[in-house]
Amino acid sequence: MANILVVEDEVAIADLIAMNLKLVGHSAYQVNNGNEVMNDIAAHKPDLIILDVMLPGKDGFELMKEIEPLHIPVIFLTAKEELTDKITGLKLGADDYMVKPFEILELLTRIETVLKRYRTSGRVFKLGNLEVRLDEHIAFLSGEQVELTTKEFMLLELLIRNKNIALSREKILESVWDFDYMGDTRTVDVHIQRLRKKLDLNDRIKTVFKMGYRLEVPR
Amino acid sequence: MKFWQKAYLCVIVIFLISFDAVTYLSVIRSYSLSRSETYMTAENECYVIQSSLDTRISNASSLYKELNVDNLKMYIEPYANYYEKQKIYMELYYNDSLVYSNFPSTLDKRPELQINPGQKSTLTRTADGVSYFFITGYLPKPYSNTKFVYIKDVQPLENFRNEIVYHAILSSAVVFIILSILLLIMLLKLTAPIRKLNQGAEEIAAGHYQKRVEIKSRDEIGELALNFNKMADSVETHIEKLSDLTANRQQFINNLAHEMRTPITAILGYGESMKYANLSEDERMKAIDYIISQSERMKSMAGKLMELTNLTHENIHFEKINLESITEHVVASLSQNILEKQIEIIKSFQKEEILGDKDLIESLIQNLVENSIRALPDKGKIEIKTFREDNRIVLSIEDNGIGMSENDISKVFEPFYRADKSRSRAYGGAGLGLALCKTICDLHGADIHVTSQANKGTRFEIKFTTPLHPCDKSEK
Repeated sequence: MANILVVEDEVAIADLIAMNLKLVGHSAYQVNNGNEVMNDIAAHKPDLIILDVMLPGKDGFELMKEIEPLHIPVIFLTAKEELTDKITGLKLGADDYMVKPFEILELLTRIETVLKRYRTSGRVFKLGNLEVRLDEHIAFLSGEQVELTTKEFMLLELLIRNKNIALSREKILESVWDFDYMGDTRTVDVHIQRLRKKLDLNDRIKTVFKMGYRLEVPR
Repeated sequence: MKFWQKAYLCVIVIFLISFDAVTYLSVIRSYSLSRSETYMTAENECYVIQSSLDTRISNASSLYKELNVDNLKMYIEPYANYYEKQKIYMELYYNDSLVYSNFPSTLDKRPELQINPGQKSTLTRTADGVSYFFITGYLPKPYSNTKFVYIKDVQPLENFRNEIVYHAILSSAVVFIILSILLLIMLLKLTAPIRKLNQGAEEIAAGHYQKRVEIKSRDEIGELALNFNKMADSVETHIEKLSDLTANRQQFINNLAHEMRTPITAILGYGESMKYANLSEDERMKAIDYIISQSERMKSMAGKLMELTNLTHENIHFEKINLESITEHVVASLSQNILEKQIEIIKSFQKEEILGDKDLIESLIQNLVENSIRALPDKGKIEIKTFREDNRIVLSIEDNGIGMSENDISKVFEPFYRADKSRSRAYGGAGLGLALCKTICDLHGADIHVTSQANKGTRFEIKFTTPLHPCDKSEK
């Protein structure tokens, strides 16, 4: 899907982010030193940059000033949690600011949101004979349009966005329905069943024991 | 009540009482002097008039056998007319019946007349608002049935008394007003420094510890102000120390929280991924490796923190230790890292023993050697030596690694400080090693110095105080 540059000097964290990005279908590559970032951007032309602030060589804020004219979306991911740092980061033109420690699912969601804002052509997800046009909210199975309710489509989109990652029923309920939705987790089961049936995804949407559901896609 | 108000009231009360008492006494004295003088004169006059009258009557009685009312009237009239101008009046009674009177006022009762033959009375009475002095007496024999009354107007005496009382009250009032004004000005001026001091104290109490009072006088208040300022200095110094200490603590805690953040993020992230994500076997292994290594990093940090906070005089044990054998032991324990980086270790020892805690000195040397290893590129060089300098044993550990800037050197012993701005762990460590070294040296009464040049290398030098006598514990 997207080409993402991870600028992070802590290898453990950089690997973690890259691993999860690849899991959901992005391509990720890492840079550990601030001085190499601009060369790397020139070489790889990333769609999005995840940028740490405290780096060897040039720091994240300095880099942001150089990246800004290139109109590449940037998400700061840093341990600097003071409000002034957040304001500095966002004022320099970053699209989002996240503080460590972070949750992977939250990072993925924010990446998706930022990418959506920048994407010009329609996003299309293809899997076998299934084609989902995410911006138009239309799904085709073997070239024929499948009627989906709003909630069903939202659920499908959530699964696609977090493919290869298991989502708990609570998480799904919270994301697709509202926080204060009074229904129970069986609502989720019912909708998952309908999606499997309508889109022929019985093999793809896996029930993960004791955890929830996962859309498995070959990598 | 304020001090100046109390002082004002005391002075005013004491002064007024004494001033008025003195004035009163002098008024009384002066009045009684004038009165006795007036009365004396009156009695003299009375005597002279009475004698003349007596002489005249006795002279006349040689002409007339009998004394009658008309004669008496005739005799007294010239005197009476003469003295009337001086406001002296006379009355003459013959056998208790009035013969003559030129007294202008009328009186109902005449107590001054109630005297026995041969007696004399003096009396002051008021008639029609005017004071009169009465002297009553009988003429000498053979005319003892004739009573002579001398009446003198003594109103001027009363007027004089009223006048001096009026003046006394007036002067007392004037003095009171002038004194009050002067006293108030003086008291307010004298107590001004106290108010200033008070104001200063209030401001300091409100937290403006840098505030001082400016009082230049050399009296007790000046001294008090001086001592007060000294006290404020000492308070300010202590407060500063305290807030520095708190700031250091806060910094320490912030650093600690920051240091914990990376391993926690990694462990949490890999753990979550393993739970939810559809990972390949390779990815799974990688995640587990990271979880283990990051946990170890936290464990080592916790260990060093514990060591750092538990280091006190109570739990260190001094014994004779050999620096060379400890160094050998440390190098052996780090041999894997040394081999990996192909580091050359040069050792040169003078056989010296010192008194110290074996475990702590080992930890000290280990931290310094680890520090050097981290700073070194592959095939670097570490030189460890001991020698004597100014009768002190010196342990020196020197490397030719990346070195540090001058700014870093000053902070290198602060907990969590790392020369690398990004706090990169590429070279490992939590930044606690050197803080620990400093504490260990302090406990041994040893001085630790660092000299370093960027890209040339770093040299740590520990000077132990005296070879076999650790510093007196009581000094610390």
